[in-house]
Amino acid sequence: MGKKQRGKNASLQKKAERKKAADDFTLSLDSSDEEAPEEVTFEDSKARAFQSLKQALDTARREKEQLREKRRKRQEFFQEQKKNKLLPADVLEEIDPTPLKKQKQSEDEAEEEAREEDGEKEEGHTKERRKLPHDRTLKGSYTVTTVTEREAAHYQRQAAEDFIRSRLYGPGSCRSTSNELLSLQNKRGTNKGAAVQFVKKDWACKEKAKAEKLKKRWLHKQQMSSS
Amino acid sequence: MSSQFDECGQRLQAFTNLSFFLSQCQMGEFKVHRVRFFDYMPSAIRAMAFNSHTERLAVARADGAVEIFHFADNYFQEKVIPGRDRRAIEALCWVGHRLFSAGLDGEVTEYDLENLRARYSIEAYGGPIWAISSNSQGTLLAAGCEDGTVKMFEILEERIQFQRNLSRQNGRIISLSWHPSGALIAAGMMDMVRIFDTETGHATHRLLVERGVGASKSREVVVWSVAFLSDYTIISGDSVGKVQIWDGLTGTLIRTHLVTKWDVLALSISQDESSVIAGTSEGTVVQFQFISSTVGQQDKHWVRTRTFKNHSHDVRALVHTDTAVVSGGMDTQVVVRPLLDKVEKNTQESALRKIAFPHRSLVSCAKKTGLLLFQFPDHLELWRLGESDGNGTPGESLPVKRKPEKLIQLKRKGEDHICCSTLSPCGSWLAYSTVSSVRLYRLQLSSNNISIQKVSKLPKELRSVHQLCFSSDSSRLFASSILSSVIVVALDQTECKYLHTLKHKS
Repeated sequence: MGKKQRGKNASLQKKAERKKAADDFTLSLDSSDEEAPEEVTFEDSKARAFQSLKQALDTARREKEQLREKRRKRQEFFQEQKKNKLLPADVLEEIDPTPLKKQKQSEDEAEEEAREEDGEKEEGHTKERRKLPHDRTLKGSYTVTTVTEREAAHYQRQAAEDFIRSRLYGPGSCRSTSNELLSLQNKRGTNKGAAVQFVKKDWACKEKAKAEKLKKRWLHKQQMSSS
Repeated sequence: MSSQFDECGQRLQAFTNLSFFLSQCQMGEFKVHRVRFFDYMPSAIRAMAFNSHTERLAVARADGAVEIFHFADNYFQEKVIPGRDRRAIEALCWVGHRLFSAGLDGEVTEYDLENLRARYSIEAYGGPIWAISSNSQGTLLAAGCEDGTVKMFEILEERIQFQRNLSRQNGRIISLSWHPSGALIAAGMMDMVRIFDTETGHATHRLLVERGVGASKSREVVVWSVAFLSDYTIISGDSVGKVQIWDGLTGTLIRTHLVTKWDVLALSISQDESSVIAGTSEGTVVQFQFISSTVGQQDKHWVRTRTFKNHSHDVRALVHTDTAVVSGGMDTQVVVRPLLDKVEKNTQESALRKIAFPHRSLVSCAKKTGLLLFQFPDHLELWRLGESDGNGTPGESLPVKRKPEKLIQLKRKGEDHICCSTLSPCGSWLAYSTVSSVRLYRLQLSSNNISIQKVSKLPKELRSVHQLCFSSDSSRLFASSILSSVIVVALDQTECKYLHTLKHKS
C-alpha cells in the first residue's frame, strides 16, 4: 500500500481500506505479516481528535439537555399537582382578587387624582379612602373567630357535671317533681283540691298540649267510626 | 341552675308571689299596684366559708356569684361579686383576709374584695377541682382534683404558686381536710378516705368506707366530706348516709352513725372540736357532740344530739361558728340557727334567721311613666304598669283596663353577669353595669311604640361600677367606682359627658 493523497477522503478511504485490510489481515494473517505498519498522516489524526472532541462535547450537551428536560418535566408535574390541590380558580379569585385589583387601582388612582384636584379646590377635606393593596374584602358573609381549644378540658368538665348530676338526681336518689309533691299536698290536705297542674294555669304546658292533641284525635276517630 | 331547681323540687311559692307596692299620688288618694310578674329565681348555695376573725361569711352560689355577709353587722349582705357564665364554684376558702375559690373549670381564683371582682385565676391542670383547703398556718393551699391528685400551692404575698403534687390516686378527690399541725391531709375519695403525709407526699393510710346495702351495693360510695381533728380522729360523711368516726393514726373505724337513707353532703367542726354538724340530702342538719354518757365520767364519745330541719332541699354547705349552726343549700336560703346552750334564750340573739331575699334592690321604677325595670343575672326586663280608670272606695281592688305589658327584654353582652341596673325617673334612660363594662341606653316611649338606642362612647372613667343612680331630673348619672369615689356624668339628648369625680375625704 503506497502513499495516498492527503485529505479527508483519503483518510476515509484509508479507513475503509484499513478495515478491509484488517479483515484481510485476519483472514490472511500470513500474507501481511511482513508488511510495514500504515502511515498515519498528521491531518488525519488531528481530524480524528477533533472529531472525538466534538463527539464528547455533543454527548455532554445532550446529557445536559436531557437532564434539563427531566427537571422541567418534574417541575411541571409538581405544579400540576399543586394546582389540583388548590380550590378552583373562581373561588380563589373571589378571596384574593389582588391581580385584578392592582389593575383597577391604577385606573382608579388616575381617576382619583383627577377628581381630587378638582375636589380639593372646592372642599378642603374630602377624604377618599383608598384601598391599600393589602386590604382584602371578602364577598359574602364570612366571620373570623378563634377556635377555643379546650376540648379535653370541656370533656372532663362535662364528665364531672354528669357525675354530680347522676349522684344527686340520678336513679336511686328518690326525688320527685314539684308537681307530684304539691299535688299530693293538695289531695291530702284539709281542703282537698285537684292536682296542681289543673289548679295553676301555666304548669305542665307540654302535657296539656299533648292531651289536647290526643283529645282531638280521639274525637276525630269517633266521628269517623260513627259516620 | 334554674333547671336544677325544677328537677329537684318545689318552685318556691314565696318567690313567685313577690309583691311590690307602688303608689301614685292623686290628691291624697293612692292607687296601689300589686306586681306579681317579677319571676325572680334565686340561685342555689353551693359552698360557704366563715372567717371568724372578721366575722364574715362567704357564700358561693350555683351561678358563680360570691356574697359576703357581715355577721356582726346584723347579718347584712355586705358585698356581692357577680358570677360569670362558665364559672361553677365547688369550694371556698379563707386564708387570712383573702378569699379563694375553686371549681369545675379547673381554676383557683382569688377575689379582690375591695373592687368586687376576681383578682386572678390560675389553672391547676388537674381537671375540675372539687375541694380546696388551707393549712392552719396559712402557707399552703391544697386542691383536690378530678384526676386524683392533691395539688399544693404556696400562698405568696400577691399570688399563689404551684409547689407540687401529692402522690396521684386512682379516683377523684372529692373532699379535703388538713390536720391542724399541717403534717397530714385526709382526702375523701370514692369508696375510701386516704391519709397523706404532706412532707413525703405519700399516702399512708387507706380507710375503706362500706357501700350501701341491697341495690346501692353496686354503686361506689362517695365520701362527700371529711374532717380531721387534732387528736387524729377523722370524721367522714358519705353518700350512703353514714357519719363515720375513724382513728387517723391506726386507720381503724371507731364508730358508725347512720344518719339518713340518702347522702350526707357536708360536715363542719366547731372551733373547739367538741361538736360536729352534718348536712344531709333531706335538708336536715344533725349535730354530734363529744361528750361522756354520764356526767363527770372521763370516757367521751361522739354522740348524736340535735337535729335541725330548717331546709326543704339538700344542705350542701355548712359552717359551725362558736354560737350557731349556719347552713345553706339548694333551697337558696342561708339559715343561721343559734345554739341554745351558747346564747341566752328568748333574746334577739337566739332567734332563727333565714336570709332569703336579696339585700339589694333588683327593681327600678320610673315614676313618671309607670315603667319598671327588673334585673336578672343575664338580662333585663322593662315592663309598663297596668292601668285602671275606675274609682272606688279605699281597700277595693279596681278593674284593670290595660294589663301590664313587657316592653323590652334586653340581653346582656359578654360572660359577666349583670351587677346593677337602674332606670331614670323620666323613663328615658336605662343603664346597667357588669364587672367589665357599663352600658347606657336611650329609651323613647310613645303611646304604642318603644325604641331603644345604645349610647356608644361612654366616658372612660366609667369602669368597675357597682351602683348606678340617676338624678331626679334625669340630667345626671351617678356611678360608684373604685376607691370609694362617685363618678358624675352629664346626660344630654343622645350623649353623655364626664363631669367630675366625688372623692372620699381621706
